[in-house]
Amino acid sequence: MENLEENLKAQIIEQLNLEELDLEDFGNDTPLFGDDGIGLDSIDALELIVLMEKDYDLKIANPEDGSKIFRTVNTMAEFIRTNK
Amino acid sequence: MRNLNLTSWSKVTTTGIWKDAKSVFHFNENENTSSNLKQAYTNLNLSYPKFFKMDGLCKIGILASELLFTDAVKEKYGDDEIALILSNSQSSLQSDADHVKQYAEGTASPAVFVYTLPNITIGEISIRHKLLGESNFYIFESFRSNQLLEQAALLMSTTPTKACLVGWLEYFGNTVEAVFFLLEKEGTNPATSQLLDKIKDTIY
Amino acid sequence: MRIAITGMSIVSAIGQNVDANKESLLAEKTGIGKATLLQSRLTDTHLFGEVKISNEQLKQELNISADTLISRTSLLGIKAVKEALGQVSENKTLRTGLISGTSVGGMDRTEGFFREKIKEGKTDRITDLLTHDCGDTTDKISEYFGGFTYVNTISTACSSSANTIMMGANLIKTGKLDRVIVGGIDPLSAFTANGFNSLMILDTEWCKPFSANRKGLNLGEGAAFLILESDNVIKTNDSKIIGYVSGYANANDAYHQTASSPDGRGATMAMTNALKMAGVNPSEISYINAHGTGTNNNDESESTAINNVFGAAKPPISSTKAYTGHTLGAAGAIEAVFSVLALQNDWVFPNLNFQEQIAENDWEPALKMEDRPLKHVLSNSFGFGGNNSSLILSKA
Repeated sequence: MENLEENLKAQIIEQLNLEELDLEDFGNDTPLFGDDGIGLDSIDALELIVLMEKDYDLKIANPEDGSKIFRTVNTMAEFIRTNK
Repeated sequence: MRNLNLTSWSKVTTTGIWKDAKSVFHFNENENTSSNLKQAYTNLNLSYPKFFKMDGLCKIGILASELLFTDAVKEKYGDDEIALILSNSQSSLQSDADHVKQYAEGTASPAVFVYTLPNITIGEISIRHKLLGESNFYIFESFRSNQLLEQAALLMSTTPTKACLVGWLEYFGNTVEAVFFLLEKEGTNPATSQLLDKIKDTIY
Repeated sequence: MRIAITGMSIVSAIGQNVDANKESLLAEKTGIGKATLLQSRLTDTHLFGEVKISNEQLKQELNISADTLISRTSLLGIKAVKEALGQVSENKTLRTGLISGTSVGGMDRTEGFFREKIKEGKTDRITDLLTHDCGDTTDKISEYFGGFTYVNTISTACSSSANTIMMGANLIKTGKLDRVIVGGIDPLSAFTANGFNSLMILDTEWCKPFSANRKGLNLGEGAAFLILESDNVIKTNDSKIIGYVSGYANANDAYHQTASSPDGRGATMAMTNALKMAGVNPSEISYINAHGTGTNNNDESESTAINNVFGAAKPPISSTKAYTGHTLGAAGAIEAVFSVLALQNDWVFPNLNFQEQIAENDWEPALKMEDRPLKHVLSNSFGFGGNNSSLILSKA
């Protein structure tokens, strides 16, 4: 899982149709939600839950847990590494 | 229809985008609809990344309404004074089909499901232009201009409505069509059923 | 001009006619449980407000031949409209309209076709798709009864049938129609079950509207219709007035595709404008039949909006979704019928399954069946797409 963070970024762009965003436009520590980050919304959070289940076989049963797990690319990667 | 004027109209089809009979953007016939809509977005300088998350029905609705809700129009009215009445015959069929395919294969996508209602287009247009007025979505077998005009007139007489966007939009397979009409009390071009039908039926 | 209600009908998980619904409401009996007719992978894990009558039984009851192509949506609709029409005398000289609201249309037959196609590669039921369109569900009702001079279908998610009531009232006020049957229908479907599940807003147990520990909604199915006539028409016929539609308004929340705004902007505007049309002060509302789906988002946003409009002096409030489940496009009409029942009997319905007060709220919902004199009831219906409608129904 060396390129996990880079893979995640590419997956986020692809899965969430962020057409105007390039890999260089956000870092591993950029907030994914909120105005000071890349501005994802609640539907995006649900899509990320689907992504985690489909591609990483990780189930997130409570959507409220998403706000911590999906804070940044780093927190997502950490969640995957801890639970894999 | 008394006191109702057609002040502007817009149209999105498989071949391009028009406003008041003038071509705004020509689609490349060698490209698919999706990339043509993306080109149109760039060309019209929308800078509204949310556009890319929308389904086809909302995308053509956003493009068609963008041409009518100019700053000049929006400045004239309060946020609850513009009503939206849209119609079609196939509801949100394209997104419905996409959603069915996904859950049949195992996992439904929330981002697809949220577009499986025709009136989400009204929601997206309202969010984009900050409109809080009355709205409705009718399912007709075919375009019924007289009913759209009647309802617009009625809203203008019974609610805060001062301007009303009425229209028809359909997006499924090879069908791509949005025809939107901006109706206002002031103006010199009386909105008639014949006029709306003619605009919808004319191939530009 | 006043808009009189002269007939009403309902088919829901708590009963297949008005009287049966009334009994269940009074007995505080929910209709939500295991689904036995719905075909979906979620029937093992989730609860549904299912109407326990199969399509075959419905066809038999309605004298529709077994091989007729017709969706469950239309069948439930015909059953309901029949009950309502039984309460007024037939009059061919009246210009009569039919407006129905639905969100999934004929999805149940479409699903039947695809199930066979995917599992067995069979496409012999392709004609089932002819009943798919929302408009077809209304046309089938119109063809069954005949005689409608105006037919329309509204699809604005969970406010669809509330909007038919508004539109019908408008058509009477402007003299376009003398009598109009308004309401809505939505059947349960794998389509909506999987979709709402993907949004993670389904409670796997009984829903708990306005409870701090609520986890989401239960889906339900049903149909309900009301007959509206103008006062002038009533003078010339023998219709019995059972209530009035005295105010209504619709506003867009302009916030999110599916979620309601935290400040309840659209909902506040819909309630305020409905009160204005009815010429009624908030203090004159005797009961609020809330949208109250049991999702975190709706109940929080609706609570804020109710607070915006009513301040500290709130009338009793309850959601009846814990009886019927959320019946989507039918919900507005089902709850309008409940509101008329409340007015007729001076009842406030309890908000079943309530456990804990929401911290930000200075009220808890009505918990017991209450007898109190009612004059005006406010009924809210908020739909995806930010489509918010409020109705004010008044005592006959």
